[in-house]
Amino acid sequence: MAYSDIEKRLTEVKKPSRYCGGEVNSVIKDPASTEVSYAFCFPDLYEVGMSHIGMKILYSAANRLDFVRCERVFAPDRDMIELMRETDTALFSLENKLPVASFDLVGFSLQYELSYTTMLQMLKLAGIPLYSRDRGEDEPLVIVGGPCSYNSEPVADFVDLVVLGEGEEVGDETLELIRACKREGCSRAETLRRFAGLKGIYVPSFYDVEYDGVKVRSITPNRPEAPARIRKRIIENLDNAFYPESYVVPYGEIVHDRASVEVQRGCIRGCRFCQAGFIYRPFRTKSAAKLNATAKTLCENTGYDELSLLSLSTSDYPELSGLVDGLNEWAEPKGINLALPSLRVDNFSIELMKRVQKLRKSGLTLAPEAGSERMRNVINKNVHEADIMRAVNAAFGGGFTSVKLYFMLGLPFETDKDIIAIAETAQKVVDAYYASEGRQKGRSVSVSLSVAAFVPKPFTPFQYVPQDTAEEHARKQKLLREHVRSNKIKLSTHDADTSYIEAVLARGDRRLVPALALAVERGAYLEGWSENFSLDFWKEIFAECGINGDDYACRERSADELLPWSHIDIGVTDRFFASEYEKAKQAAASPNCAEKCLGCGAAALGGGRYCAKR
Amino acid sequence: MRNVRVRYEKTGDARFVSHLDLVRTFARAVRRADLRVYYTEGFNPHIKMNFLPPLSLGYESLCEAFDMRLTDETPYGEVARRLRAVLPDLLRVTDAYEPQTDLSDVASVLYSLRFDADAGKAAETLSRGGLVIEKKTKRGQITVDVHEALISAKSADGALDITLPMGESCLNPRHVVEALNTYGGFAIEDFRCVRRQLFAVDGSVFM
Repeated sequence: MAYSDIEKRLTEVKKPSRYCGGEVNSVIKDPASTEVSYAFCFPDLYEVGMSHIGMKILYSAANRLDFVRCERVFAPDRDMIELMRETDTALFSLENKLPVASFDLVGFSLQYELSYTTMLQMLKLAGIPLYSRDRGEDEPLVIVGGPCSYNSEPVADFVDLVVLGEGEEVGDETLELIRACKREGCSRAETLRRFAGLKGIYVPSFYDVEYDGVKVRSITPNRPEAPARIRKRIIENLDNAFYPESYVVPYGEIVHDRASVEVQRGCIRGCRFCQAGFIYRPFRTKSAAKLNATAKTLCENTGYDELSLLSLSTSDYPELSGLVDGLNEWAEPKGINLALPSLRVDNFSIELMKRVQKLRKSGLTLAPEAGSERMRNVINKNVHEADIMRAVNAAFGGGFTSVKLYFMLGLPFETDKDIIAIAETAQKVVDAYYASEGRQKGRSVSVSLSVAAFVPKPFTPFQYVPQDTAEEHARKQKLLREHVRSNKIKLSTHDADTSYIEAVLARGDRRLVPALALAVERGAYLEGWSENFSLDFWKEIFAECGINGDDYACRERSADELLPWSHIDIGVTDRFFASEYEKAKQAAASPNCAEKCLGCGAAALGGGRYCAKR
Repeated sequence: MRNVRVRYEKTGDARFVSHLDLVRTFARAVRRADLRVYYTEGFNPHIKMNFLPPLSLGYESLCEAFDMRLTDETPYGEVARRLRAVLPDLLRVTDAYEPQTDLSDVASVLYSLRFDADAGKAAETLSRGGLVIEKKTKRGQITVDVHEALISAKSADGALDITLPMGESCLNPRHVVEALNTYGGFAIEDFRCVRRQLFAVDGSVFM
């Protein structure tokens, strides 16, 4: 059945405009006159996927190539899946409403581990065989990218190709190679062989993995074309990289409903828990002039009245003040608000906040991540209590009455004292409000204290550490709760159940493949939404597959252990991670990239703003 | 400041865009078209726009409109041209002009319904009384005789054209289909509905 059949009944589902496409700036090309078709899938609902900047960039980048027809696909909500079943309709693209299985290339952006099952469910809905070895000559190649692709081992048997690194250039090369293979009538096997020679592409089936108990013994290429290690791709000069001048403007409300420009890539900070801080190295910036021009065109072409500057740590953008002034020159008269997420507390400037957000006095969000000075040194989050207090005092003086604080529980080398310090920090913020002269008289303060469970990630100095067990985490949560005594503090603790499965999948190997397949068979879907997630469900799956989740989540690895992702080269070396881990043990902070180059290894990729020549 | 009425069509897949989303879509279109219009004052300024009563999700229309205020001398024709250029064909701006009426003055609406059944027989069924159905309102269930509530019903070009009152007592075309299924022996599962024309209280064409 086709879209025309389901269309008649589309009003039966919630928010039907998510499935009909046709939005402003969507690119609808003629299937008859495009040589390569690419279904760009996001394994989450429309409103989440459409908010993702990477998808906006790569959709426009692919469609700027004349020979390519790139169409979007999102995970249908459960009511839509029901309707698809009733009408016998396979998963279809938004632009031409074509079955996903009819495309040459089917790509998924893997942003978080809990979306793996959604990706697999989408393959099933599309009628594409789950395992890459079962796909026939006429079936699409399945490719994945995004941060989870750096350790894609748990999905290794499901995907044909993995993009390591930034997609702007390697995306073009991928689509060109597919065109070449189609023209020459290459078999599937031959096409994969050619892809193994493309820089930044990993073909999982070309590697054999041997195990030794819970550990990996060896990872060996089984084809001459497959390199022993695969290095990620980056764009050296971001000013030359493609950035869209317009993007699809949805009808319905999405999560991040605004124009956004990416000011820089990578992060100079090196917080030891943060995977993004390492996989996007080296740190590269765009010029303020270029950003200003892009932002203006983007607002003109989308009609958005909010503009956001995106990066991992916007305060570290060297030309921030000048950029904001330049943007405000044209944005203010047009009634366009600037949003500056990801500002740090240490160089936080209330003046800057006032300049850009004069209309909205909503609240201040800070992420100290750890409660004590010692613990912040362990994780290399170079924020001091004085910085936090300066920021909140400035905010209260400026009329703010609410502060959001983000922390993590279960960080390595954490003691009970460090946990109690979280509650103490929140209390100091409450006290600061009542001591503040400029506060709004007669109004009470609200401090929301949000505490997540730490998930150790690959490609970080904490890739070796065990996650707390469920019992230990519960004990720590209870301890923290006991020390929160003010009713001005609202403590919310994140679900440790999802963090556990994230920890298993994040550092998983190929032995998790059958567990994912079974979970999908049993209906796992959209697990990033808490109502769809159940730890008991996963425990049953693991038990049936003979997997002990603790071997992945709660096991300490030694620095010389061969990790399941050892054949992936992100530039930053294991030697650097091990040395940073040693420093964490001593609670010793490291200088950031702008202060001193520590020779992490990312310099070899080129383009780093602060990388020292060696 | 001048008032402007923007008339547009909502067709094809645009019928799946809800009224609230439509309002947002037009506000963005006005910004893309770079029109100088009046914004509300206050902490969260937005374009002052008035729309016709909402069209149900799933229905198309050839006669939709909203009013706003222009703060410069842009000619009406250019307003229409610029909006048309920044909107998909499914939301086609047909005209922009100085309104002589109030959008709340619409008294009745002509809909064309298409379905897999004899439209002539449907019109005949609707000409008989006693077509009582239940209708949910804010104050609970009420019963309505569809025949009494209908202003007119006739078949034309294989479609069923019905005129229904707009406003408090309004019936939705799906109530009419329900009456056909219950009393006329029809088994209509899905139908296409297009809002074709609007009328004022005195029966003259509003739009």
